[in-house]
Amino acid sequence: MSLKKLLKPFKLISIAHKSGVVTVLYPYQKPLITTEFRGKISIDATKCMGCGACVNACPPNALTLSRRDDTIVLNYFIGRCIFCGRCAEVCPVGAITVTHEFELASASTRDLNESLVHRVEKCSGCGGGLGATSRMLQYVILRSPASENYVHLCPNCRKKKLIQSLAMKMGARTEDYEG
Amino acid sequence: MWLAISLYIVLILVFLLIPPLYDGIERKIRAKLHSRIGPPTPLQTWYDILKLFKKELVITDTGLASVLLSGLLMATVIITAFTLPLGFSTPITSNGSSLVLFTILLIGCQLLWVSLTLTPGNPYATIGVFREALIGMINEFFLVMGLVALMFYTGSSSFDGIIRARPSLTYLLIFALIAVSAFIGSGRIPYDIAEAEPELASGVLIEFSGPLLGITLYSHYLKRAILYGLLADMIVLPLTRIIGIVASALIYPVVVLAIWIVFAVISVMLGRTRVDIAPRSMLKIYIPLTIAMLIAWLVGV
Amino acid sequence: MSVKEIMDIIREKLGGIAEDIRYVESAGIIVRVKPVNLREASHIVHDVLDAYFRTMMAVDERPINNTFAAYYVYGLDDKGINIIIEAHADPYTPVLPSIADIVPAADWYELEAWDLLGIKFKNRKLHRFVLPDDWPEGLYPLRRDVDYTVRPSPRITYKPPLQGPRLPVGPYHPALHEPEYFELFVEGERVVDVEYNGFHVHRGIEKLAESPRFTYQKIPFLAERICGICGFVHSVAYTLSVENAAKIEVPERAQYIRSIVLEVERLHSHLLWLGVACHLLGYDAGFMHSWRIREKVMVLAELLTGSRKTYGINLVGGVRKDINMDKITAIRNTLAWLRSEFAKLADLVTSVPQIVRRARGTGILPRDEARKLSVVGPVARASGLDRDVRRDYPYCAYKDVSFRVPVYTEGDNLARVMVRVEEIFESMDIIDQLLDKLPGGPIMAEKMEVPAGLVGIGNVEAPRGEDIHIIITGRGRPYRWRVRAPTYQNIPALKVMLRDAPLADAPLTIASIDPCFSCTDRIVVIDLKTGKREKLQTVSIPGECGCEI
Repeated sequence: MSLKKLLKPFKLISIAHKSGVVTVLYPYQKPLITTEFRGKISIDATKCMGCGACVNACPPNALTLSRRDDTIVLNYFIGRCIFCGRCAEVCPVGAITVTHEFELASASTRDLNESLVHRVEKCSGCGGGLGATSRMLQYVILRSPASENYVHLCPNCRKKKLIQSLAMKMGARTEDYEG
Repeated sequence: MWLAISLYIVLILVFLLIPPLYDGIERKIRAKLHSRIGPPTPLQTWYDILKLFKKELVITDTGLASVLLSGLLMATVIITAFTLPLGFSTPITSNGSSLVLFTILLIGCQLLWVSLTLTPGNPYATIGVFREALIGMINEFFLVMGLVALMFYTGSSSFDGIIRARPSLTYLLIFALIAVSAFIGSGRIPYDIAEAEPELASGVLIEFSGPLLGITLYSHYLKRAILYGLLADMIVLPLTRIIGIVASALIYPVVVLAIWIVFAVISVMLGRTRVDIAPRSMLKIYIPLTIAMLIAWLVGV
Repeated sequence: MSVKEIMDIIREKLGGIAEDIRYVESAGIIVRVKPVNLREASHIVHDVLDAYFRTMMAVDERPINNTFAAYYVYGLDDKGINIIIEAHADPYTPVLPSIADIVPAADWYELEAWDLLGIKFKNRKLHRFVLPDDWPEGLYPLRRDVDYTVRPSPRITYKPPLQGPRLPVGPYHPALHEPEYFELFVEGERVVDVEYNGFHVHRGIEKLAESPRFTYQKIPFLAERICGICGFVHSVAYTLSVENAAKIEVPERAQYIRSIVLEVERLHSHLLWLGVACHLLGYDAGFMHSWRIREKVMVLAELLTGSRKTYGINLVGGVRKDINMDKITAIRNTLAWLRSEFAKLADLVTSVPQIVRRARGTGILPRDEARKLSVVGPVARASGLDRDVRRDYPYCAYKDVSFRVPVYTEGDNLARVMVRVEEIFESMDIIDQLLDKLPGGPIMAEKMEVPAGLVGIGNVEAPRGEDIHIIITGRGRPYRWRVRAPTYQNIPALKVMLRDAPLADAPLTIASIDPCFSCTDRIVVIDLKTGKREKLQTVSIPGECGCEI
């Protein structure tokens, strides 16, 4: 065996010298994150309309929507989130942005939950729950202005209104339908 | 005389405290060669050992034997350290047969180490002990041969003989022989197969925890320092004739550190050997070295 | 050779016993045989036509045609065509003849089908394989009538400890970074036999994907989580299988981006593996420097996809993230740096005497054993089998690039190291070629509809070997999705490699197949806590350390 070959492992010194120290004193020095990094999401409460598109797309069910009589609650549980950013992609109003935040460990699960409470609009006819938020209604009106007349009514009242207007066209009197 | 005694007291204290620090320095250097930061301070090994002493003592079925033997091991290693000249001749080491005593104690350490690691009866540890014993047997043989050669060469069974030694090729080859056996005997890669982490899950050390592991690790580092201290003595003792005992006492710890670092860097460059390859590769180094030494001696260079 | 000619050959060889022979573009040539003729058909395809055994999918088809079906997929690698033998078993007492003696690679698949679907295989020993020992008898979780939420209460079992000197390697062992259990029977320092006990970390992914919780577009993210190292290959294999089945036109640019990311993944996976191999041989400097280089690849992956691992850019129909000029420059710069750094590292690692000494001639897998077990990936290529899915069954953009498939005939650990080292260089070349040819256009298909009842196969050459997914489409989600990770095919070969070898070589040999246990364990919904505890109890042997010699 030649001496050159025998001494080859010592090349390590030159390699190590050239590359210097590559580890960092985390957490005192921040690790390198590129611009493309996907961290936790942030939901803009002023834009979100509670439609639930993100909930349908979310692969691990980190986003959930719970509907009650007068509220719609969008809950984001960071503990389940896989940071894929699908929600940001499908959000129709661009309320979700993907941040660079990733240091999310916490001693309490409460810190891992973020909730957004939407108030449900009341039906302008009967005053019952409409199942939609006011922003959702605005969104629908913006997309199809013709819907403005009946979008504030619940399906029952809408049906009523339709029958009423049809009947009126056929010549019925209004008082027949009161009470 | 009083100078020598007070110097000795300081130095032996330093010598007993310094091995974990040297290991800390080694870890920093190893980290540099790995391109990483490594432990926060060179004192990390000391912190580790102190932390181990703070943990609770877990006594298993065979734990009592382990505790007794580990205490015995530590005591023996410390006594061995007392029989080593620390860069200058002390009342203990200028004794007529101090080198013989040292050799016997060193072998005693090895035997105690093997019996200590046998106590848990764990299969990993048992395989580790067999490996340790196999390598140890070959290595001890050549270490003892090197020491005996040293005695004959200096014409004395005392460490004081080394002071009178003249630099020659024979002396150099004896030094090389002892250096190789010190390297292997200190359980370094490629010959750390008794503790080989991947297949044996730290082998001989697997069942030790807390203070027991602390004692075992400390004894391990001190034994390493003793082996390197022996080499350092072979360099420093002849120098006392020229520079005097104070200067040689001061450079002694530095020489030990230098030897430690050189060995550490060499072991970083290498991988771990295998138990069936190890004896062959050891003999490949030892036999030519021994023959060269004998020839040099006969020729008288 | 065209499909028609192969069909003619198959008609000639199998015409006598086949009930039906048809060609499905998305899967291959499907030959339906009666169970009684299954053995003969397997023999003809495996031994006479010399096709590799690729995977087997057992399906509960009772809701469709009132049978249990088994699809044995064989591959004619040199022609790039699959031959699928289809057999149907009785719905009440499903029994099929065992082919494990004809096709040794089918052994695990039969055990799995028995465990999960309750299909009995005649003339062989059947035992618990995937399911934990405390899983109740007669409950077959992959059957359609078992809900995915079922959590049965554990059955108390007692398995007497085996006799003889042995050394447990796992479930938690420093050499294996995943929970897996090898029981090495040793004589001194020599391994005389190996017992493998796997599937400690099943997550029931296949069952989950059939559940209403999932849709076609959610599964890529689930598939990616099959493996923590080569997850992207699973999401690509899944999307390919759906796209093939439903004939979705995926834009060229998306295909290229997938290929680029796949190769980036191979780079980091092989560098990781090289580091681990060095570590196992006690050469930590090689480990650290290999990972130092790998870090740049990880950062590149993050720049391209948004995440260091589990990239999450795949969907059925295309990819979610485009590549711009800045990113192309970043890739080129990283590759240039990587080429020189890796060349230096490879040179350094192979100069360390102990590495070469311990890798050469250890863990040998002879060619004929490799062929019998139809092993895949670098393990196959190191044993002289010239197979690479990228070349043999081209997918994504691999048909547009040229590359060399390194093949070694030694079959030892060193050969497996060398195959991977060479593949790193090839991967870098492939990425360069892909960047040169990167076409413009959209990255997502416009029209996407997945009709029910179609079969599709998606295969990808993962860093560890061939990864193959079969799908039967259903409404909104797959009816059945069968994943076969490369390690599943390679672990049986370990028995051959470890036997009669020194104990010290065992970790390296186990690592040399680059095992990915979580890939292999993906089958069944179990209560992890009870399942695991029970398993541990049955293997632990009296003595304070849970083992004896």
